[in-house]
Amino acid sequence: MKKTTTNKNFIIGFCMVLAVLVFALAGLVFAPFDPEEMDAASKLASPSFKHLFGCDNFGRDILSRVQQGTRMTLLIGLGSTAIGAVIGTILGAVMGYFGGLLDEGLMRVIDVLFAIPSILLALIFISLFGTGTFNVILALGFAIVPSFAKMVRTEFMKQREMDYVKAAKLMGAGRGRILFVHILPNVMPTLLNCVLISLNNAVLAEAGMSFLGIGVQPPQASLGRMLSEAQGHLQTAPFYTIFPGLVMIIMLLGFGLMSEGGGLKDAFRRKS
Amino acid sequence: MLSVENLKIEFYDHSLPETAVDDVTFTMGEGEILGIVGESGSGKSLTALSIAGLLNRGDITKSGDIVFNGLNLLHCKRSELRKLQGKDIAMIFQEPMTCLNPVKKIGWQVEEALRVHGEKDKIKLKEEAIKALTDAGLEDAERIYASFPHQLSGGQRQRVMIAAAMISKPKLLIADEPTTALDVTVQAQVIELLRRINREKKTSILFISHDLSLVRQLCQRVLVMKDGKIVEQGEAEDIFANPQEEYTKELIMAIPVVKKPD
Amino acid sequence: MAKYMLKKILMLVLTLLAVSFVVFAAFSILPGDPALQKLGTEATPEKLEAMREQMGLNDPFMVRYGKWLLGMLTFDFGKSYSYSMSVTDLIGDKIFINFTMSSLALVIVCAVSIPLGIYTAKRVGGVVDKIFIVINQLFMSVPPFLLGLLLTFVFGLTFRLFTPGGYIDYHDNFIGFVGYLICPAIAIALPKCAMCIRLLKANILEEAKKDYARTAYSRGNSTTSMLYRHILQNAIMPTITFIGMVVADMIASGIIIEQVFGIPGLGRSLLSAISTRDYPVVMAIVMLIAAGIVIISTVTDLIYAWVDPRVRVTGDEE
Repeated sequence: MKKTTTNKNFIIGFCMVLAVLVFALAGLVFAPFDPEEMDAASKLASPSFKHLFGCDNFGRDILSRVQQGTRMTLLIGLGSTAIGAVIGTILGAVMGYFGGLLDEGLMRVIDVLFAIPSILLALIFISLFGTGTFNVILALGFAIVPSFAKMVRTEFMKQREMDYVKAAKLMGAGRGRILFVHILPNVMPTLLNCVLISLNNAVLAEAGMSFLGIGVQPPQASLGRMLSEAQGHLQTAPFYTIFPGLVMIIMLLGFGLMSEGGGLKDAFRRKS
Repeated sequence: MLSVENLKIEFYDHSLPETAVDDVTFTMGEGEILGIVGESGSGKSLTALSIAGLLNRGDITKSGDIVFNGLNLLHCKRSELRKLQGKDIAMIFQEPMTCLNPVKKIGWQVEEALRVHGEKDKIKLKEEAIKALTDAGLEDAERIYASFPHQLSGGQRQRVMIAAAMISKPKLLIADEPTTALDVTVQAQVIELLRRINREKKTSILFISHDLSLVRQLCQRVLVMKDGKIVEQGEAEDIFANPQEEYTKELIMAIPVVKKPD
Repeated sequence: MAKYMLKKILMLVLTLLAVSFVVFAAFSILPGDPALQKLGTEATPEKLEAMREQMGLNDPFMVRYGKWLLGMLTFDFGKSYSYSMSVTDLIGDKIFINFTMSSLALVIVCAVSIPLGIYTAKRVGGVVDKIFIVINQLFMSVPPFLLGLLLTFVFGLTFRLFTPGGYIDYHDNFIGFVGYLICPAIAIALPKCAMCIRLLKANILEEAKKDYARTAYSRGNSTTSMLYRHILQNAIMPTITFIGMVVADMIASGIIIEQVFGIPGLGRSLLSAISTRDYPVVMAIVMLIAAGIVIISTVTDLIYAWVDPRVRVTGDEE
């Protein structure tokens, strides 16, 4: 019974993420307005047939901006997760498999970095290298590395003791081959789950950073940026907060449901 | 004292019910040691658990009767059953490592059966607990009373379990594979302890085991179970000397030859 | 236990040392000359050199690090580049704001999630449990700042229980100060409450399946006495560790929440210091937050040890 509920959660979450993705990508083909086009006449206009989500304080169409912002948020999320996952997996694999002094030393560093919340790490990074979309991706990617490496390390430590690894060693497989050809496919389910959790965190952190004004820079839109701009108009134009907020919640809920309780592990196993 | 009639236990974890115990009927007298043998999955532990009133999962149905001193345990209220549990019927389990609560002191756990059934006097509780621990063959009872489970060895823990079970002087002690997790010398000591309890306190013991040689050492009467059914029952000596069923013969054949202590 | 405590405290000191080194090294390799930045357009080579000497920039790296480290031990974090005052004077007042906000959030997390975790575990599969599964999942997915905006809208603008942006300083009115921080604390705490409820419930249900729970039933315990006398103490232990991590997260999300509610705390100072490249301030705040987090994680470890006799009595972890 438990299996079916996690699987159901995974499907619901997947549909939510897919819906957000379709919504965001649709803007490339069909956006009602240019997201950066200002129209002084319709400043903070309420939702209407012309502007389904209303207009912001510069008279820009919120629907178009939410679409653009979602793409930006997803891009940053995916980009930073990719960076964090690649570096984290390599580090974690090497640490977990070889162990010893190298592992011990790196683990201390990771523990220290782990003690600092990822948003603070990203803030330090930004304060060192400056703002901008690319730096945000790097910063968040960097912030993901410690937790990712830690999770992968545990998994590789477990696999190291397995019989198939010993067999591969006896057959004379090289270290790199054992790590990435033999073990990696076996840790895929866990890895994918880590990716989902990291995506969730990256989207959350990007939103937070853009909300603070140190993420995506104007005139580009991102969901966090929009929410921060909307804050001043909360009373007069609540819809300005509601729509970007709603999209963000649906996206995060989707990721949450997909990664929840190893739902992905389940869905993945069933497939193979 | 205890009679089990047509006990049937079914699982409903899939759509089709699966019968784990089927039409089990037997009786036990006062002061008797009855053994149930069978391999794992034969339903012996489920039978024991249902007598102790510990089989209350939603996906299990039980039918038949279990009558203990005039009370039908299968069909009485939970509150009535609870009055017996720990007082008249006590149970010890296979894994002494995990059967004790890791964060509570031994003394507290040994006293528990008395406390649950109304004893409040702390001094008296401690006295009884120390006595029970000493009776269970633990020499350093004061120290063990103040210890935590992780500070004791497996054998000590099983003795603690026995002390906790015997503290309220139950009429029936159910022992579910109590020696399986212990090494051989400790095993023999625990069997000896059970025998002494039976002799001195007149406690009836229902001894569940997969190990025929242990059952032979301890029990007067034996039930042999296979696939949820009783395939053979009788006096221990008769069964060993003259097994009727093929399955029993196989079980006896499987015992490594040990000289029987006289 | 004493040995265990000593070990943990030693680890705490070492971790803080490592963090301080990483932070100092990171901000030292930066391109750009703080002396030049401070002098701005008035810079002449002579003035620049004098300023460098005065700021101690000509010392070797380890000497500068040592000075900075020793300074921190006496709560001297150096001088702000942007303002001609010491970092301590600049941010000293603000620590209390963040401390109060995080403590309030912690109280909310404990007060809400422990009873609800127990309740939903007791009535697992019931209507309340099912409702909470949905609510928890929802709250875990809402970023705190969005929750902050929602709370501002509902309690600030609709019910007018507080004035959005109308922060009250604790020097003026302590009760008002705490009252104003309640909403931000709720915004930080709710997602964590959701996680804690779920974790505690899962732990209780898992412990209830263990052998010792069966033993307790065999002694005639009722489900209730079973839960409170046996299971809870075991189930709460992983929750303690988790709450320690949660506090760290809450301190971090406090930085963002400050902006939503217009609270002049450490987060705001950090942001303005980042934008003006006022590195001594950035370093000081990062160190303070890191210290707070590391201290909390040590405290949780010690509480854990105190609750778990396996660590308390023998002094080693499992």
